[in-house]
Amino acid sequence: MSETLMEVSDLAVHFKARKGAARALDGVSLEWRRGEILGVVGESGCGKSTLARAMLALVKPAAGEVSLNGTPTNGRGSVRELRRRVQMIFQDPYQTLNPRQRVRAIVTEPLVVQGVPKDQHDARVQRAMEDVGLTAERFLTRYPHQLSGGQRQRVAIAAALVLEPDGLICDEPVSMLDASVRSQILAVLVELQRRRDLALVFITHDLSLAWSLCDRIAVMYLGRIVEQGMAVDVIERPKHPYTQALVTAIPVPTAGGGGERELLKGELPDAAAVPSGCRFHPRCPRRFEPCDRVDPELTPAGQPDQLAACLLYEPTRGRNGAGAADG
Amino acid sequence: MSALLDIRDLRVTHNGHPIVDGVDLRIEPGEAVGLAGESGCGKTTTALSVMRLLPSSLRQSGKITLTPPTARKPINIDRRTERGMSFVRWRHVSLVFQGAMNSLDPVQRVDAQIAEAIRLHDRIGSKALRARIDELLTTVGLTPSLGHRYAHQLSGGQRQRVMVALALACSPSLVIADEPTTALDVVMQAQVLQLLERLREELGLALILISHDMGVLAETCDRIAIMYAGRIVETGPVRAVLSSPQHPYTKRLLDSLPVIGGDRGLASPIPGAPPDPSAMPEGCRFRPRCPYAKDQCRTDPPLREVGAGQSAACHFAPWTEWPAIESAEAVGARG
Repeated sequence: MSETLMEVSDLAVHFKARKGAARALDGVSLEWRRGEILGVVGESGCGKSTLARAMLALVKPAAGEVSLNGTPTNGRGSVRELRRRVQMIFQDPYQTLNPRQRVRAIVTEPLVVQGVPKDQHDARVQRAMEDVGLTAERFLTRYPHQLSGGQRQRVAIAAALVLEPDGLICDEPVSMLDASVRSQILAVLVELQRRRDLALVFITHDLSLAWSLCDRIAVMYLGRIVEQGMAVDVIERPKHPYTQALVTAIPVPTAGGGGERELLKGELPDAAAVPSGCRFHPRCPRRFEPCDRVDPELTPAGQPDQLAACLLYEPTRGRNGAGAADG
Repeated sequence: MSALLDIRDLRVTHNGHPIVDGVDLRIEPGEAVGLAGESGCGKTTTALSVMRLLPSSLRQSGKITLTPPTARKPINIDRRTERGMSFVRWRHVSLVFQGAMNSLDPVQRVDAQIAEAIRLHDRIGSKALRARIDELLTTVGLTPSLGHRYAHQLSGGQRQRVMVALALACSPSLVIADEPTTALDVVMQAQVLQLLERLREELGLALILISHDMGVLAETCDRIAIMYAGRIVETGPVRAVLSSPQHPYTKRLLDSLPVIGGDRGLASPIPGAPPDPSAMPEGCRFRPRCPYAKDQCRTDPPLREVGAGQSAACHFAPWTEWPAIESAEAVGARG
């Protein structure tokens, strides 16, 4: 097993809401290994972007901690180190680039912030631009408005890479891009992961994409991870009823697609009013007696390395009892 | 029997540059047709032409005939005046816009917005109006009491349902839905698609569904038309096109989509970007990006029938097998 890059333990982030606090993250533990692509999937409002921001100390956690290479990342010095080691790219390349800066300034800025000696700047910028497939001479003098959507996202990736980080957190990096541009950007990211041994966190609501790209996947619901495991296992043989519902809802672009299916009713509840017991129980088609009272923890379910937070898999309680405990 | 909607040689230009360039499309009553393609390919422009809602900077030509069963004679949309069109929109054909978030009036309650649409077209007493609004909200799966809310008090899925209710307000025979689920999560998306399907069955609606998501189209449509650079490059029954695409663009587009249970990993991306309308390549417009292009492709391939109901605009169609292409290792940014 490869070593851990980042360890998130029991992380909670609360936001002020009209009635009390919205529990955007409510006890999340996650391991991000070196060189792996870790997918975080879920519906909007499930806390996946908050998790990304908390991993980079962009929001203050109410509880829990994030450690990088075994060192906790609270305190100013370590936050600086954290952001040198781990970088982030966002969904909308139209809003993340400063419209009044040229590409050169955008890509150089992280080096200035981190105090990298000036004589290294040109070479590192050059290399980052090469890595994302942009010709430096042609693009460094341009402004963002002179770039297409795909080129902007490449510039954003270059600015993240210029510090030569170990990890890159990508928050819906291609959801605003068209099919052909999308696959070009994904190819850039995967190539980087292979060549530079870069670890990626890939946040997306697109389950097919997560399945095709990621090594491991964590499924979030209302501020919690409800299932995690190898991508193939989680998507092809989901164990948590919520993951099962998500997978069923994916539209299939094949000739045999469609057909009747049972869809989840209702919508994601308000994070300020999390249901009692299992937070998924009001929408769950498989709920049984204690689900409205007992909050399930992640338990081994299905394949080795696969965990689901569902009472169905708790050996003492679950209906399929010990069968689930092969992890 | 004549088609419900017949579009012949639709052309839309901006400063003389083609945005839509000779599109022919027929929709039968009750049929669901998908328009697919990347942004800028002309699919939304085609839809707006049918509604005659194009911005004034665009020039539109070609024949668009709508023959709704509720009208006495065919409507020549292309020749209608603006005032004449106002009787056609909503009554015979309505549009569900992209991004329901921004299409509802933020300072008007939902039922007032629906009432406005109905009153523009029907003289209706206030009791009957109330009943009609409640019926519409129920049809789209909302509790009538939600009608008292403002748009910001609704979730994305609820707003999208309100948009659908608005589109149905005057019982049109054709609804055009432009990316109706793009802003929604998978579960909500599936719910809205199921709703559209149910309405089609119950009300006999014809539907033009515009989407870049092949999965969405596969599950909702009878027929599909793939657009590229202002033209339809392939069209046919949705199953035939998806299982046996006959245009290299369709083929590459489908290959770039991950299908769960199939091969994992990334397909080689289509290099480059769609052409700019001011600099369309001569001949086949996909030629500069096509791995199979030959000299012959410098002449324009016509859209011709290559299988049962399936047509493709490619000199080499029908394709019995697709030659392997070397993967584009260097994914350079061209353009």
